[in-house]
Amino acid sequence: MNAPNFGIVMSHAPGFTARWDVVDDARQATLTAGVERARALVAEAEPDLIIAFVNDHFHNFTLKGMPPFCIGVGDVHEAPGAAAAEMLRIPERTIAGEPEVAMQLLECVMAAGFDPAFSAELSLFDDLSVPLYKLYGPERSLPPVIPIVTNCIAPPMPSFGRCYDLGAAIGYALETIDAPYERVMVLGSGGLSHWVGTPRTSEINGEFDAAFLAQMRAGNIEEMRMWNDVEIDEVAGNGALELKNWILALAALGPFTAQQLAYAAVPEWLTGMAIFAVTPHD
Amino acid sequence: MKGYRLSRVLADIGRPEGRAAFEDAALLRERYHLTPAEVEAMLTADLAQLYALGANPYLIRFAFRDKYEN
Repeated sequence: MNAPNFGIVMSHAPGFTARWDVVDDARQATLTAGVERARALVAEAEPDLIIAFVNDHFHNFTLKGMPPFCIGVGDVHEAPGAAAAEMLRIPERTIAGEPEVAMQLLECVMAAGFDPAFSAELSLFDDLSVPLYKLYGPERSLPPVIPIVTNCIAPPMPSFGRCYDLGAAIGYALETIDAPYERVMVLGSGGLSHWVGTPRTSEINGEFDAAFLAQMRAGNIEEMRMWNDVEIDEVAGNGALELKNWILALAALGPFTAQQLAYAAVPEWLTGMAIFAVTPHD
Repeated sequence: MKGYRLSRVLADIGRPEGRAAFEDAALLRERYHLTPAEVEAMLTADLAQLYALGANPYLIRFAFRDKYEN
């Protein structure tokens, strides 16, 4: 099969679908335009497989067992399940997985020195459900999705550097797997700056977001590889650690060109909301 | 692991509507082995103190969602 040829990296938040009306018209317009552009680019790319880098929110894993990484190898995934659908105010949906490719991917990255867990029964919350809803709407059919779940919520977590390395290994592995997929899209979901459940909840660091957006537009994630969890938590919030999903997706894509489609600071949803389309280049 | 017992209570509470069943100091002490400071923080919904005591902030958020403005 082919290496990924297209990607979307974007923020997620329950409010993006459940509390849309609390945001003013200007920011709604910014985000609507970004979503519409992203949806058009996805339609144009016509992905036949999505590799989705997401993070669990204690829906699948608890402190009784918290894998650093987990590859979804199920025939199907809930995105969202019934309870999550009620919270997110979007329809409950079961989406197709790609177990054969997912298992091969698991074997490839294990051979490369990574040891992710795997799960055949994942139920994804806003990390996957909201981006898919925004990019495809409730009506368009989805290609198969392989979720790759990273621990971004319960320290200690895999470092940004480790995430970059795994993402690169996944990108390489996809090229070597024998499967009939030609148009592979990566999705990286999370961030930007935000604090969840801490005394700083609802704060957003606009300066951090602006600097990060500039690095993204330049296609430069070298500094991001060196990010330290404690420092990012302090400067941009525990929610910014979800940007590990971005670096995984971007590393899987390889050197990239990024097009910023939207950014709005939305403290009402706790989050700096950004959407980028990314394509690889030599 | 710092805050594990608190996090376990919060995980068992789940959403705010489940919280009433855990507003019981004896249960928090005897089933979850919380310290007096942890019990106090739970019963008074002192979110900053729960965080300071090491509870996972995502679990604080989920269990006390109704206490946040946003």
